[in-house]
Order: sequence, then structure tokens, then C-alpha cells
Amino acid sequence: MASANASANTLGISIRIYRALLRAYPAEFRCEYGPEMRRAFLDCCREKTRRAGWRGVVALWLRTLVDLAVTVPGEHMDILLRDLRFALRVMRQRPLFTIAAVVALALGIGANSAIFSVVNTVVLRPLPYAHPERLVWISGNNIPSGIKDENSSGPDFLDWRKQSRSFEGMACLASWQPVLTGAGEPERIPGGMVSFDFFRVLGINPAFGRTFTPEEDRKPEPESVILSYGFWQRRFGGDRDLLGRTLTLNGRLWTVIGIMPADFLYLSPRPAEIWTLYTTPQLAARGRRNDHLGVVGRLRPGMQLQPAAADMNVVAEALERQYPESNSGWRVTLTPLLERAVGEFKPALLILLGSVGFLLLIACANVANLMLVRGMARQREIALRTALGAARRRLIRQLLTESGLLAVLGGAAGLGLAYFGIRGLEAIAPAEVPRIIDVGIDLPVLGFTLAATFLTGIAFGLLPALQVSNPQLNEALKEGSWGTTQTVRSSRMRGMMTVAEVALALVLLIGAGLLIRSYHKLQSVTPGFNPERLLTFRLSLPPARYPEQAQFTAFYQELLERVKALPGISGAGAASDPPFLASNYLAFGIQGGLQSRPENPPDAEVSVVNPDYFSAMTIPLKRGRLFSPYDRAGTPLVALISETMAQRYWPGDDPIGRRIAFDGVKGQPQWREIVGIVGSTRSEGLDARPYAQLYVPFAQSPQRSMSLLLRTDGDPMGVVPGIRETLRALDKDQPISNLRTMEQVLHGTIARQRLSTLLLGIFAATALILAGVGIYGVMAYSASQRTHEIGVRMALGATRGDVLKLVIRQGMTLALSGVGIGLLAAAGLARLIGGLLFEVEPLDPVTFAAIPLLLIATALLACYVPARRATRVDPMIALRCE
Amino acid sequence: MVRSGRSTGELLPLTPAVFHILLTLADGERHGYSIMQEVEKRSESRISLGPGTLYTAIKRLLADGLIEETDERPDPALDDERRRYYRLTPFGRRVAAAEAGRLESLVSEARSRNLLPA
Repeated sequence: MASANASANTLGISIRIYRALLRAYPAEFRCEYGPEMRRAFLDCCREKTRRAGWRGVVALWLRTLVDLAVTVPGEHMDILLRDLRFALRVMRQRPLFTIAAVVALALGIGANSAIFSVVNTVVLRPLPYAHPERLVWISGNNIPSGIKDENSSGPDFLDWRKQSRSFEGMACLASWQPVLTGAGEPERIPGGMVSFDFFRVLGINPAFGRTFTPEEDRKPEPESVILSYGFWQRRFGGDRDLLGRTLTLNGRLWTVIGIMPADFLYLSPRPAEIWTLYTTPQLAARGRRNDHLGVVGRLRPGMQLQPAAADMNVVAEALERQYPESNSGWRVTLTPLLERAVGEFKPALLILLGSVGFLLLIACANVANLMLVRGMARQREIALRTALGAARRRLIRQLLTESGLLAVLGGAAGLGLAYFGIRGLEAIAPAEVPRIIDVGIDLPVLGFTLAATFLTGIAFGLLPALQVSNPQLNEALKEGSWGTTQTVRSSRMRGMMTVAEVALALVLLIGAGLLIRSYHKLQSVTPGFNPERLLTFRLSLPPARYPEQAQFTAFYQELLERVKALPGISGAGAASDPPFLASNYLAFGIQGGLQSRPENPPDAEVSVVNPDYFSAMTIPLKRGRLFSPYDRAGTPLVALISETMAQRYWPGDDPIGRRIAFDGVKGQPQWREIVGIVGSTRSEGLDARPYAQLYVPFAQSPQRSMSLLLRTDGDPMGVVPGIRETLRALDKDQPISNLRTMEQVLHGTIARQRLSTLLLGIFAATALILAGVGIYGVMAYSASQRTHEIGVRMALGATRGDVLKLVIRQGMTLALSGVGIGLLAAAGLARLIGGLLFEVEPLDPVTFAAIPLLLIATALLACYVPARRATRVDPMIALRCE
Repeated sequence: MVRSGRSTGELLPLTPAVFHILLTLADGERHGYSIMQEVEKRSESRISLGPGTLYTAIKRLLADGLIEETDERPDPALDDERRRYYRLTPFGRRVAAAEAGRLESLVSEARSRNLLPA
């Protein structure tokens, strides 16, 4: 008896589980065969129990699970294929609808894939170093002086490395641009000086040869170089025998010891093709506030950023106590290296990613609207199928298959668009965006596109499917049954979609409008000099050939004389650190001290210039006098300052006649007298305020490395051959580097802003078109559905103007609601974009007034066309249709 | 869903499971569980149809018009009338015969190559 009970129990449980498992089959199949299958399963169970007891049941279950696993997917696939065939037939019947939907989705998905590929490659992908998450950028800050993210100096770096405990290794890098001679044209090579363990800290091995050794590091001067793969290929044709051979750089011999791999990414934003060693004796010989070193550290495994920063600041405080003159107020900031490398591009890229997200939402709303409209047209087909017994779930599944197929087509077309979009982006993106050349369609992008396609299909398919699959049968099957609850509900939903679309488009347009205004302001900033027809290039005389100050002084004076005499050149300036090209901040002392601001050592951007610099640049003299040929070695030392500097350090006082001196001069300060005040120039960027600037005459402080700034009468590039000729006559081994017009330089400084403005502009324009098409579609459909009503109205005496007003009012109600909501959303979101704006408030009244007007005008146009058509309704024909 | 106008050849070769079902139905109508038992018995337990395999096959056979549902009951006293019974259609009989012929010619081919005793 007990065993009979037990087997009855087993049977009961088994059949309950089997019934639950049957739910995995499509409903259609389950309804048809479910009861039969349960009965057959029950029979099997009974028999197996009778024959083999519980063992028989277990064996049956094993077989049954296999049976289910094989047949369930088959049944689903069967239905999917049937639905797909049906969907294709439906699409072919309405090619215009299909094309419109696929184009809208392709634009939305394509823009998303393209921007995602950029964001993923530039911002998200880990840096190509070993355990990149443990690499940090180490920079100085001096809060009392308002200095953040400052480079380090040689002695500070050596002390950091020696005294900190959180790092497995710490390395430094500095800029180095040697001139290669002896093998073809002389060439200035962009490169870097790095501490001996730099490559080891990054965890990168050379492709060939070796990196620097601790033995080399102890020598006073470096003697070896490592080449980049690209430079090795370009200049030496990938010659393996180059290893161990020597190159002539800056007039001296250097041994090539290694070649870096082709995919090696240097840390500096500027490309580098050659590296040499910055030896410990060289580093130790520099001043403590000669801040020219970038420092990168590798944290010990398991070490977190916060404790490591605390550890570094203990070191910084010890240095402050030890060297109060140079290290007072200096602390250390640690930044993850990835953040450091790509952090500045993140905000703009994330805003672009958000924008394309909006664009996709607009495309979804658009297509959902189209589907709703078409769903209304198919109401009768669907009601018929429901009447014939199709379950609602089955209908939803069918409709979702249709939207899924549309989404897949849109996604495929979008991927194609993304491919071309990415190539276009690469062409216009500023070169300093790190890793931009690596952007392409890779696995993450494909995955993203797939996910976007899937979500899109659901997003625009689900609402219409729910809506359409729930018709009131009787209403839909009746002829001419418009104006029922069903159509009211559907038109309300279409109205909501339209409002959402307009609101989203407005947010995008306002974002784009703000960026365009900001870009325009940026472009019209005057840098403090006239950049037109100004040619610039840089010369650096190697110490080996020009060891004596008198030699390079004479070289530049001769060169400037000859260049000035060339036809087409009206002014020849020279500067060690001209605006936008180089910068050199130096602290200085003031004789007698300052009345105000005693807490910070005063500093300024210092440039060594020739007397003609100001006239060549058209920087105006405000007071006092400019440099003259009489300001030379041996005469009293003089300096000029900018207006900004005068206001900053001598507010309400006369700086002319005051005397200043730079530190770093051994022993006695060398006082310079301020003889004049000139106009300020911007130098770090068009969006950066001018800093205090101080000029020193070249003849009193000659430099080996100078930029020439030549004012030309015509096309600046036209004078280049003459300049090359002149230079060759003076020194045939002297290469010209960074030859550009000043306008190109300025253009380059706003390349990033131009790119984000351009992209957001394109997205916003697409959004505007999609929204316009959306409004048009809804209005055209709604007007066509109201033909009967309009006919009645006209028969009862309504004029065409009345009808026009009626239709337009309906459309504009939607558009204005969308604009209202969009304005609120834009006001909320605008501050996100605030960081990208220059001299434009996030709530800029001009943008917030003009953009809604633009959108309203578009909406009006989109309503007007269907409204005009509605007025042409012939009342008699409209009424006869019934 | 009955597809008409298909020739017997279009459906060949049949899967073993389908051929067994058709064979089982050749001598009269049966319900699902009875088909499962009979197939298992005849194949000496080498082929054992689960309910899923059986009913997805039945669905397709119905759709292709090889079998049909029947209201007749062989022995009302013995059987549950809630069960569904299936029988071969004339088309299904022709398809089963064609498959049998196909197999037979394969067997004679094997015989002529001395794979089987003559």
C-alpha cells in the first residue's frame, strides 16, 4: 500500500513538472497538443514505474528532457520562420513605409555605432601597457599659488622615486627634439628623454635590441638612442644592422640600441620617434622648480590610489621642510594614466554619445508612429485574425517579429553607415585625439550595434504591437468605424510619440546651438596679434656646432637681416616662446618686493624676442618704449611686460622703471628694468585668458632655439623657397621644423571644438529632419482619416481657412507641447554641456529663443502641407465615400 | 495548413521517426501513446519517441496531409474518447510505400554488392 502511494506521488509530481516544462513550447503548439502530450507522458510514467520502479522513472525523465531540448527550439524556429515570411510579405506590400523606417533606424543605429566605436577606442579601451590599471600619472600642485597639474623637476623626481613606498617603479619623460644630420636631409626628429627604467615601468619590451641599463644611467651624459618602429622603417628602411651603429644627432654620435614595437604608444600627446636616456646625474643637476618632467608610476600590486597619494604627499611635505624656498606649498596629485591620457576628451565624447542616444530615441519614436499608423490600417486584418482564433500573444509575437526584422535591416544598414561615418571622422578628427586612428568596427562595436538593434526593435515595436493587437473586434470589423475609443487611444499615443520626438529634437538642437554659438565666439576671439599672413617655423642650433653664445647670436642676427630683405616679407620677428607655439613660465623677483600678494612668488610667461617681434606680430606698444638695437650685451638689462602683467603685479601703480630679476642666476640677482608695456596676447588657447607676459631682448639673453614669425605680403607659403635658400646659404645642416602659418596653428587649437560642434550639428540636423517627417506623417495620416469630418464641416459652411486652421491647430498643439517639455529638459541638461562652452551661458537666452522658433517653423511647415491637402477635400466626394 | 498538390517524391527521404510513425499507422488508426509503444516494440527499443518528438512530427504530418485525425474509435468500451486518433491518408500511404520502395532498392543494392546474403 505504501509503495502504491509512493508511486502515485511520484506520478503526480512528474506530471506537474512535465506540465510546467510544456510551457516552453509556443502557445499555439501547446494548446493544440499539450493535453495529448501530458496524457502520453503519464502513460509512459505508469508503464515505466510498473516495469522498473523509480529507476524507470529516472530513465524516462532523462529521455524526456532530451526530447524537450530537441523539439522546443525547433517549434519556436518554425514559428519564427513563418512570421518572418509573413513579415517580408507585409514589407514588400508597403515599400515606402519599409524604406522610411529602415532609413530612420539606420541613421539612429549608425550614428550610435560610429560614436560608440570612438568612445570605446579612445576613452574606454585600456592603455596598451602591461597591467595598465596600476599605472598612474604623478603631477605637482601648489594650491596657495593656484597651480594644478604641474610637471615635476629632476631633483624632485629623484626624491619621489627614492622616498615613496607605494610604487613598484617610477619613471620620467621630457621632450627632446634632436637634429639628425649626415644621412640625407637634416631633420628635426620629435622625441623624448626618459629615465632608464621608463619602458620597464610601462611593461613594454623593444621589438629589437634592448632598452637603457642602470650602468648607462650612472654616466653623466647619455650615449644611446632607441628608435620608434615607424621612424626606423621610414628613415632606415627597417635595416636590422642599424642596431649597434651610430647616428649623428645634434652634431654628436649616438649608438642605436633598440627599436620599439610598431604599436608602442608613447605617453606624450605629441608623437615621438626617438628616445634617449635622461641620466640620474643630468636629472640631479636641474633646478628644483625647473618643472619640465612628466612622471609616471607603477603602483605595487594591490595598492590603491588614495593611500599612494597620501604616501607621496608625506614625501612632498618632507621636501617642503628640506627645501622651503623651492618646495613651499608643493603637493602631489595621482591620476590614473588612462584618465590622464584621455580624460580631456571624455566629456565631449560622452555628450556626443548621449546625443546619438537621443537621436536613436527620436528614430524609434518616428518608426513607432509609422507602425501605429500602419497598425490602424491593418486593424481589420488583425481583427479578422483574432476573430478566427489567433491569441493576442501570438499576434504580439508576429508584430514584434515584423519590428525586429525592420530593426535588423536598420541595424545592418546602420553598420554600413557607421563604417563610412568612422572613416569620415578619422579624416576630420584632430590628430591629438589619442588612438583615433585605431577606431574601427570591431567586436565591441558589433556587440553594441547588435544590442542597440535588439533594444530598438523592442522599443519601437512593443507599444504599437500592444496597441494594435487589442482591437475592439466589432468596431474594427464594421465599415467606416472611425472615431471609436480604439482610434482615439491610438491617436493619443501617436500624439505622445510626436511630442516626445519634438522634445528630444529640441534638446539636441539646443545643445548644438550652444556649441555653435560657443564655437563662433571662440573663432572671433582676437589673440592679441594679427594671425593673418603670418608664417612661423622653428630653428634649433645644435650646441656641438654653435658652442659659443656669440656664434648663435650672430647666426640669428644675420638670418633675420637676410630674411627681412627677401621680397614678399614685410616683418621678421623671432621669439623663443611665441604664443600658441611654446611656453616658458618663470618665477621672478621684484626689487623692493611687491606691495600686494606677498604669499606667492610672482611668475610670468617669458619670451626672448628680437626688436622687430612686436611690429611683425602687430602687438601694440601701450606705454614706454620697445626694444632697440642698443639693448644688447653690455648695456643695461631691460624688459617689456604685457598689460595683463602690469595690472596683475602693479595694479594702480606704474611698473615702468621698476626692476625685476629671475631666479636661477648664481649669486647676485641680475636686475632688469621694465622699459615699456605692450598689449597682451593669448597663448595657451583662444579660450584661455592672457597670462602675465614678460619679454627679454634676444641680444641680452640669446637662445639656440628660436621661432621665426614672418609677416608676408601675400600667401605666406609663397616665401618658403626663398627662406630655405637663405638658410641653406648660412648653414646647410640646419633643418626647418614646424613650418606653418599662424592661422593653421590657431585653427588647430580649436580642432576639438570644431569636431564636437560639427558632429552635434549633424546629429541635431538629422533630429530636426526626423522630427519634421514625424509630424508630417502623423498630420498627413490624421488629416486623411478626417476627410469625412472635414467634408461635413465644409458642407456645413466651413471655409478653407477654417479647415486649414483646424488641421494646423491640431499639429501645432503637439509641436508646442513638445517644445515646452523639450525646453524644460534642455534647461536641465544644459549644464552638462557647460564645460564645453566658451563665453556662452548654458542657459543662453539667444539659443533658447532661436532654436524653439526654428523647430516651430519646421513643425508649421510639416503641418501646412497636409492641411493644404485637407482643404482641397471636395465635400461631395468625401461624403459619398461613406 | 494542408499543402496540396505535393508529389510523394518531394517528401523523401523520411526521417526514421516519421517512417516508423507511418508504418505504425499502416494497419489502422492509433492514438499518440499507442504509436509510441508500437514504435518502441517494433524497433526492439532502439527507437523510442518522446512526446515532443512524436507530436511535433504529427503536427508536420498533418500539415503535409500524410495523416489525418479520425473520429472513429476502434473499440469504444476500451478506449478513452478524449484521446485523439490518427490514421494514414491515401497520400500518406503512397508516401510510406515510396519510402519503403526507396529503402528496398537500397537493400537490393547492398545485396548486389555482397554486403548482405542474397
